[in-house]
Amino acid sequence: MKKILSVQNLSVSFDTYKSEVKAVRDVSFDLHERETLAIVGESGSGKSVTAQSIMRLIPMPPGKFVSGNIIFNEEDLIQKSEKQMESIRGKEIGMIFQDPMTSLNPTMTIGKQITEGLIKHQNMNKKKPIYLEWSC
Amino acid sequence: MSQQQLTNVDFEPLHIDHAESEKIVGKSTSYWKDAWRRFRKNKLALTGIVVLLFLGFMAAFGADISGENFRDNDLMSTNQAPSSDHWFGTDNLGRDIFARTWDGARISLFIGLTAAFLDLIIGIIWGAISGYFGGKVDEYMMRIADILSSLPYLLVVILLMVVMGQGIWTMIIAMVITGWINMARIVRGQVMQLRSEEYVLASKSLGAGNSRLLFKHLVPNTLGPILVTLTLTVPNAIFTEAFLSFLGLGVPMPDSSWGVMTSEALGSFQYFPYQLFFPAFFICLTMLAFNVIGDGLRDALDPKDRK
Repeated sequence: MKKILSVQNLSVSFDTYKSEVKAVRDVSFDLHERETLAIVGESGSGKSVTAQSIMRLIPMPPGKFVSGNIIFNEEDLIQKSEKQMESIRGKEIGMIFQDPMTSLNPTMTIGKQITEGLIKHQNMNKKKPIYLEWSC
Repeated sequence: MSQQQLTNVDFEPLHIDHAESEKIVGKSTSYWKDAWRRFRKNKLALTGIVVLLFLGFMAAFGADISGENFRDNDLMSTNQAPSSDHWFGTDNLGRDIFARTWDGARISLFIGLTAAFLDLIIGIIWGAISGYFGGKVDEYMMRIADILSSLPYLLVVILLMVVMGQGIWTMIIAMVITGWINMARIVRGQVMQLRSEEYVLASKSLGAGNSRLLFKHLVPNTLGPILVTLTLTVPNAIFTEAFLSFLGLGVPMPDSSWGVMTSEALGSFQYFPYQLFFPAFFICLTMLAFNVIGDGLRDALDPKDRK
């Protein structure tokens, strides 16, 4: 099976005024095609930081990659520029957030927010209706 | 006590029609419709709107209603009291105060709205960029703003007057140079607060770029405080214009403005108080109207206050 995502020895830290907070320490895992991987852990164990690191959504500074690689489709996401990441986010890698109350913009319609990613990545027309298809 | 017989039927779950329960109860309203509904309940703010519309209408057409020209002297009838000929009386050069009041309204409102609008544009862009990027960018941008806001306003006006000459645009530019900082600070504060919201992160995770995040997600969410500040900026600008004209630094002759009129009327205030009354009254009325509208907007646009 093809390996899609490979996180190798990932360490992420945050610089705080006290000291360096090591949020993720030496995490490695692989994700293959047609595979579901669930990460389970106590709160504060670094699940979210790991997931946000893959999307490069950690604000830097104060966050920083200390070591490790995130290989996605044989390319290291850590080396990507912010512009390159913009075309990966929402197209190659998606993310669903926990809290629907705060994850939606109160001044934008739901329809606009749902189609936001599609319009951005698939060059869809804003005027035409968008039909979503999915298969299970 | 009679014993009640319970059968299995009593424990059957009630039938729930899922299609029925998914139906949306009540009309869906947009944010602005909802705000307007709340705004309408505020009678005082609504009165403010009506007064403002009236002032705007009179500013546009009022000067022509009386059939008098705001700059025509009639030296045979100077300092006339209000009468059927001259509805608000005449000033010391025999000019019709009614016509001058509305010509002045045109200029005062133009200055107020234009200055506030320019403040708004510069303030939003500057404040949003500063608040969004934070760090060094924020530091430099806000220090520049601080330096500009520490310039005494009158000094800027007088210096600009030397360069550009006396005029409406000199005043507007001077007002904008020192005035946009307030707006920028408010937008910056709001954006800083909002940029850590989850929906910004969510949109970022969909691949939205900086400019999209800023102007599609962050700025629309700051519109409430921005509008409120705007409605308080307009009367401020109008008042500043009146103040400058009063000092003789404002609107040049022969144009009138409320400030010019109060300034001219002050000399003969003890004998012809009506000359001072009309422009002063309309300055107050405009300020009051804008202030109550701003107050109403603040209540209407606060999403935390929804009922």
